[in-house]
Amino acid sequence: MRKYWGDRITGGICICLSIYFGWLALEFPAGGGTFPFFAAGGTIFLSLILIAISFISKKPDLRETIKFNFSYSSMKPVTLCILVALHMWSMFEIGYFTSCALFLFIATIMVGIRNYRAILTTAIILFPSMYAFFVLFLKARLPRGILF
Amino acid sequence: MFGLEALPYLVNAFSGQNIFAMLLGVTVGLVIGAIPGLNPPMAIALMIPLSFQMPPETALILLVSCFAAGIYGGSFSAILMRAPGTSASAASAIEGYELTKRGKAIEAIRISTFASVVGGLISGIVLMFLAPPLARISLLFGPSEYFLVAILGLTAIASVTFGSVIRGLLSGLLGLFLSTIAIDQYSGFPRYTFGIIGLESGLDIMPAIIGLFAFAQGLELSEGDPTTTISGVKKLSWNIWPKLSEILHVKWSLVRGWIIGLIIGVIPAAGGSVAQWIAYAEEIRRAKPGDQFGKGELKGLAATEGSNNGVTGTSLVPMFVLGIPGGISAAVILGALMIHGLQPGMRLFKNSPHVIYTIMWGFLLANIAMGFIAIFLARTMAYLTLFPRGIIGPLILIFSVIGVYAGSNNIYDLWIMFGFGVLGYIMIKTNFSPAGTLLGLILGPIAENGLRDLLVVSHGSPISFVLTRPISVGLLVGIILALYFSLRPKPWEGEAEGKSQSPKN
Repeated sequence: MRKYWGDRITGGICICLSIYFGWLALEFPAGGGTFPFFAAGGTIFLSLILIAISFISKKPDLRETIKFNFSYSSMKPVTLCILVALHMWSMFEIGYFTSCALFLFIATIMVGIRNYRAILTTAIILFPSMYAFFVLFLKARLPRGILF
Repeated sequence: MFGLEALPYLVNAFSGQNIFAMLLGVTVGLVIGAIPGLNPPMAIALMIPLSFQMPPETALILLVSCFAAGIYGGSFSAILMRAPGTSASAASAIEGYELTKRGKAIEAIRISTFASVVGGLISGIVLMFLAPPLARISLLFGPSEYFLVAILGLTAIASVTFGSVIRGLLSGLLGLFLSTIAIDQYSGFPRYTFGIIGLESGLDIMPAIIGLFAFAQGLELSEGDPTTTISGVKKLSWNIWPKLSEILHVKWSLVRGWIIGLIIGVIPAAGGSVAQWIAYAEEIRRAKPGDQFGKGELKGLAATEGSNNGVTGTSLVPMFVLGIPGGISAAVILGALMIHGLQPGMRLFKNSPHVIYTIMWGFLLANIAMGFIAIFLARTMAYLTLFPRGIIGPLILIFSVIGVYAGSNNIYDLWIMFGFGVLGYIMIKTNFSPAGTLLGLILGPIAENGLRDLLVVSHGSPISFVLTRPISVGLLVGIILALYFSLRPKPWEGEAEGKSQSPKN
């Protein structure tokens, strides 16, 4: 797929979403829909320009082919997002220290780091320092769970 | 007389907690700025949860110190390994690295230190003298001006997205949409909340900033080879201040760089990334026989380093005065200002002079401090560039999560940060502008209130009403000019390609 198709699809999605949110704004009372209408109108206008440019522009970069890459390396951010979501849930179940340490070990190993000493040193120095700074110095609260 | 107005607040800047905040901000800024791939907006975003428990002036001193030092820190990796720590140092990498290859790394660092420290100081002084009189203009603002100034801010920040202004503007409009999520304060009707209670109070700025700038950066760093380190430069001399003869050799380049930085800083959204290329182009234009531009010319480095720190103070002028940030870092600082309950404009100078003037003094002191702290951190900063990105990425993710929770103790905010982080990552990958979205989110309520009040006072004829008000007409002209300058091709883009597609100053 060439890049100009990316612009056309992006523009199309923006227009559809703007129409949907503009339609929802019809129900807002007391002028509550005015500003969303303004934003929707602006988005539709700019999306149409984006689509038009994809047809008339002669820029060579628009003719480049988009290469979809589903290799393990390129999917790392997706896997990391899932890990973060699990971390955000688990820190309230098993506690700040355990959850952060587990996340750091799994995430760094998953992205390809094999220097276990560096990971361990980082965990030993960083997490107690963060705890001391937030809880003892700033008097903020950190998540607690069944462990620590 | 303004100078006398600001003077009593100098003492405040020397309080224990303000000095601590300044030193912390400078240290973090230097370290994060020096690591290629990390940038000042991300450093500032990560500092916001820490600043949450501090008084507003201390919090803002922490952030502006981090900003100034971050820009300077970026020069270290640019000079030592042609890997600019920030996009505001991209032009410095050209001459700086060539000097390093010729065994003149320490000379390059010395000039960079002098140019950055003095440039930041001059910029801070200009901020002090320029902001208060300009803030009086905001007293003349009515609904139409508030609406148009928000649109001008969005238009200006869109130009930061090099080569894709339309995407930058679309990003801003997305931010405007997101700003409407909440219970409507006029009617009490929930807008776009889809029955989720956590959305009824709206999207907080803090999780949005951390998600868009820190979390997204953490995800980006996890790509590619995780063991990547930049180079083996580990040794730096402790002496990073130049001799008088070295300064005199490049004096006019320094002056030109500082002046360009000061002027570009005041222009909304232009920032250090633009200033450095203009300063560099100006030096090349003035080149004399014997100058070695492209092969390690100190004049080129002096101009680029002077300009990118010359920008720092003046880029805060439109932010403090009108709420239009002078760059992406200033946009993040604007978010922090609002988190601490402060509104830009004359009210800030009238109701909270102790806050604003203490911040300005803190900024000046931070610029002096960064030159001295850098003496002690220089070696560490050289080592930091050897840190593998595979560890830095997950650490940023952890800090984003813990920072947001510690700041608000609200689980909804964690998920909002996560959502903005994913959105920010997708935006980076598709050449949209996370800064535009953030600014839309910040300026959305100002623009909406302005538009609704404008429709009331103009009896439904906003266009004819706007055309009768000179400031509104001026702002309209500003919007058109901002669009014109962002759409026309920039001469330095060819050089910048591959180094700074999306400026992150």
